[in-house]
Amino acid sequence: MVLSSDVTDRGGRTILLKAGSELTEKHLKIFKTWGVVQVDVKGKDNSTPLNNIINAHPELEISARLAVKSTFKHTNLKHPFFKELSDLWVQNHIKQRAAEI
Amino acid sequence: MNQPNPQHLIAGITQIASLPEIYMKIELAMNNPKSSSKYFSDILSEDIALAAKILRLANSSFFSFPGKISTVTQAITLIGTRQLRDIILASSIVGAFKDIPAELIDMKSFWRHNIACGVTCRIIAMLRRETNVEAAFVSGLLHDIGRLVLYKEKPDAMGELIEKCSKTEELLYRSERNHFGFDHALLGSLLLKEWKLPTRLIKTTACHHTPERAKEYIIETATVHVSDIISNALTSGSSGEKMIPPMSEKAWKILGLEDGNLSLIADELDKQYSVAVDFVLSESP
Repeated sequence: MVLSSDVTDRGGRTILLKAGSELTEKHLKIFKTWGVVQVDVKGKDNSTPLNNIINAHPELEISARLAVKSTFKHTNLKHPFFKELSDLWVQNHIKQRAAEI
Repeated sequence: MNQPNPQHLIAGITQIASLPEIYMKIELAMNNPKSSSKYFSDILSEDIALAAKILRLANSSFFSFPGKISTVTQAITLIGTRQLRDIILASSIVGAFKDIPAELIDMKSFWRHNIACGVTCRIIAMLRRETNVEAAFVSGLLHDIGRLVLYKEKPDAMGELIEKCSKTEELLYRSERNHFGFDHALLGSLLLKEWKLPTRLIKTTACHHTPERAKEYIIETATVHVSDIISNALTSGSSGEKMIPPMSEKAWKILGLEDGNLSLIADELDKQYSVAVDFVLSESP
């Protein structure tokens, strides 16, 4: 994986690794030491296991989207936190159901 | 109906559930400034299984220490004695409730939810650069312990409430309040107080559904509150709640988490969960 932007320390003052660098295990260890928890990388891979499952079993996504509404009925699904959490819930739900098929 | 007295319920549970002697010894040693790593190691050597578990944990991805840690003394020096005490509490708490009959509740599912909450608390504490992340882990691990008191002391009522909630899609903790006049959060805090556990644990347990009421340990309580929601949504264990609880906006803002932190928490939860299940339950998830 190649960095799409510079990685800096949490304060944004020190550049730890320049954009365009190839990421290695050693870099990840250094980032962890500096408290860096996220970096931007180039490219996007659409052939994820989840997409493959949804393509093969579209009904799983439909049932997960219906179930998420009742499971999250006491929450504010417009809140960015719950938007993201419910998306993760849907992904997990689809993977679990697929594993049962 | 006559509502039960929460203190009476606690009195019933403390007759069957108690903290192990080794935790008490470590706690005593913590309060003695002369205690060395060697002294803690000697206490741990009384429980070979626990010592082995701690060595395994010290060498796991939970800590990611560089190099192999081969002795308990070395592990204690690296982990730290405060963290060690919290880890021992985490490891021994399951044993304290081993006499609760299996037909009342799926205890593995119960502990898996609580372990997931503990791991999520630990990850949030790491993201916030807190000093004792193991304390955060234990806060999450114990947050629903009051449910065990209800399952043990009021099994029929709890069975009815769970059944009703699964039909009406109500929140179980709100049904507990309507039925008993209090919920598992209050009971849990009373039990931890009875066990003379740190005030931090008592307060975070008491307010994990009402973080806006916390007067002390506000950040720690907000951490447990948000972690409970995340672990309910992302892992398969359950302490009885089937619905995702609502979130206090105030608690969310206090934590100051950034965009993208949730997917990072989910990834880390995935990695650390199996290590924590192995440590607390001595088994694979």
